[in-house]
Amino acid sequence: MINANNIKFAYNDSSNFKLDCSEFLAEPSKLTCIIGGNGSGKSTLLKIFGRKITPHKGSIYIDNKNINDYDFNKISDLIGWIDPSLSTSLVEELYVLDHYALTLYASGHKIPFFYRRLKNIQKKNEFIPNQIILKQINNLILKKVGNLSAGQKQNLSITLASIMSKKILLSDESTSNLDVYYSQQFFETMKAIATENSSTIIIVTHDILLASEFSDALYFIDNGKVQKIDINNICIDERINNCKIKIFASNDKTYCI
Amino acid sequence: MNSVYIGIEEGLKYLPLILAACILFRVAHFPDIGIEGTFALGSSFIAFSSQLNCSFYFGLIGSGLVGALGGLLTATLFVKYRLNSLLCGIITTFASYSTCFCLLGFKSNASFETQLSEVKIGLLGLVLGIALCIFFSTRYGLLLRIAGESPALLQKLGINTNRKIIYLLLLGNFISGLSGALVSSVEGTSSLFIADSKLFLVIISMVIGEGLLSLILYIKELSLFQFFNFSIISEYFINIFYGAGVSYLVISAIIGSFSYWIIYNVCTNFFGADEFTQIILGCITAILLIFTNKTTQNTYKLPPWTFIGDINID
Repeated sequence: MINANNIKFAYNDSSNFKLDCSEFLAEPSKLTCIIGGNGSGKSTLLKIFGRKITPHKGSIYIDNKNINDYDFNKISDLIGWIDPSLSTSLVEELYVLDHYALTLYASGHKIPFFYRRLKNIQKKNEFIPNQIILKQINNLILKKVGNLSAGQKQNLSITLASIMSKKILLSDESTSNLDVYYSQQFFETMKAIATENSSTIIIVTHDILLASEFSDALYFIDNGKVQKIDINNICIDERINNCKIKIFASNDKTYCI
Repeated sequence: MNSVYIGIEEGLKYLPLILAACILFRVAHFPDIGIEGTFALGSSFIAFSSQLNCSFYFGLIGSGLVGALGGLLTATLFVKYRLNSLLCGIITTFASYSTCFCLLGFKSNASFETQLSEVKIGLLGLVLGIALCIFFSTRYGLLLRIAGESPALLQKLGINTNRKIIYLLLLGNFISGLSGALVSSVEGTSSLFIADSKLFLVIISMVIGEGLLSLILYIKELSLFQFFNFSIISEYFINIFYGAGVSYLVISAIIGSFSYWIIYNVCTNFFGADEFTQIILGCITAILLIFTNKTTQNTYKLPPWTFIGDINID
C-alpha cells in the first residue's frame, strides 16, 4: 500500500511547474491509474513514489512505514518498474525463451539446470508465476527477439517486468507503443497480477478509456495539481474545439485533456 | 598437402587461445588486450614449474590460475576503478611481461622437456569447446551470457552485473593462461616473446571462422543442426549444447583456428615468403567481413538458428 500526504515538488530550473498532491492512496490488490496531459507531472509523481526523486514537502508511506526509513536495497526488492525502455535492452540475438528463463531465475523462481527445458515444462504448468503471463509468453517463446516488432518487444518487456512479482509495481506509459488489443491485454494482466499477488499497482497512462474501465482508483493531474476522480462520474465522449476531449465532470467542474 | 597438415597441427595448437578470445571478445564483449599477457604468463609458469620439477598437471592448472589472476587485475581496474577497458588490458600486459621475466629466472627464455603433442591439445580444445557450450546452456551460463551482451537488462532486473563481468574475464584469462602453457609444452620452450602478435592471430582467426561459418550457412540455407541431421535427438542436443548462442561461436572458433593456419601455410609455401601471406590473409579477412555484413545486415550480426522455430510447443 502506498499512502502519500501533502506532497509538494518543483524542479530546480526556470519552469513554473509545481507538483501538488494533497492526498494519494494506492491499495493492495487494486489498480490505481494516473491520467493527465503531457508535462502535467504524472511521471514526476511516479518517480517520487519509486524514491527516484525526493519531494520538497510531504510524506510517503509504504505499508505504513515512511519511504525514507527503507534501505535502498529493500526499496528495490519492494518496488518494480514496468519500463518500456526495457525493450531497448533486450538481446536481439537471443530468443524470448532465454529472456523468460533469465527473468524467472532473477526473480527467485527455480528453473531447470538446463534452462531450455522450460519450453517443455510449460506444458505441465510448472514454473509459471501467472497464467495470463504464460499465455502471452507462449505465443512468442520460440521467436528471436530481433524478429519481434517494436510493439511486441514492448509487450515482452512488460511481461518480463510483471514476472518479477514485486509487491509494488509502477508503470510509466507502458502502453504508448501498443495497439488496442495489446493495451487491453496489458491492463488485464495488471489486474490479474494485482488480484493474484496482492500487489499494489500504479499505472500512468494516456488511455482514458482503459483506465476508467480497469482501474479501481483514478487520479487526474492538471498542471501539477493531483485530484482523485470518481470513476462512476466520468463522461468521455464530448469533443471540444476539435482537439480536446471532455473526459469527466466531477463536483460541478469539467476537466479536459 | 604437407602445408595443410602443418596448418591443421598449428590450428589444433592455438584452438584453446581462440576459445579464450571468443569468451572475452564475443561473450563478455570486452576488448581484453591483456589476453597476450596472460598467454605469456601461462607459458612462463609452466616453464617455472618444470624447473622446480613439479608435476606437469600442477603446472597446467597453475598456469590457468596465474592467467585468471591477470584477468582479475584487468577486471578490478575496469569494474572498481572504471578505467578504460583497453587501458586495463595494456596495464595487465605490462604487468604480465615483468612477471614472466621473473618466472623465467630473469632471462628472456627457458627450455624444458616437451610434454604434449598438437593432437592432444586439439582434443583438449574440443573438450573445452563442448564444456563451454554445456556451461552456457545452464542457468548460470545464461546469466553470464546476458551480463556480457546486455548489462542494462540485468541491471533493470536488479542483478549485479559487475560480478558477472569479473567471472567472464576470469574464465577467459584462465583459458588463455592454460593455452600459453599448452603451446609451450608442445614447443618445449617458453620465452618473453611467445605472445607477440597473438592478439592479431586470434582476432583474424575469429573473423575468418565466423565469416566461413556464415558462408556455409548462407550457401546451404540450412541451420547447423539440420546440416548435421540431428533430427531424432536434436531437441536433446539443443537443450544441452545451445549455450545461448555460444555453440555458434565455438564452432566458428574451431573453423577459424584451422582455416587461418591452413591459409597461412599454403600461402607461405606457395609464395615462399611470409610478406605475401600477410596481405592475402588481410584480403580474405576483409572479403569475409564484407560478406558477413552484407548477408546479415537485414537480420543481425550472427546467422539465424532457425531450427528452434520448427518446434511446436502446443
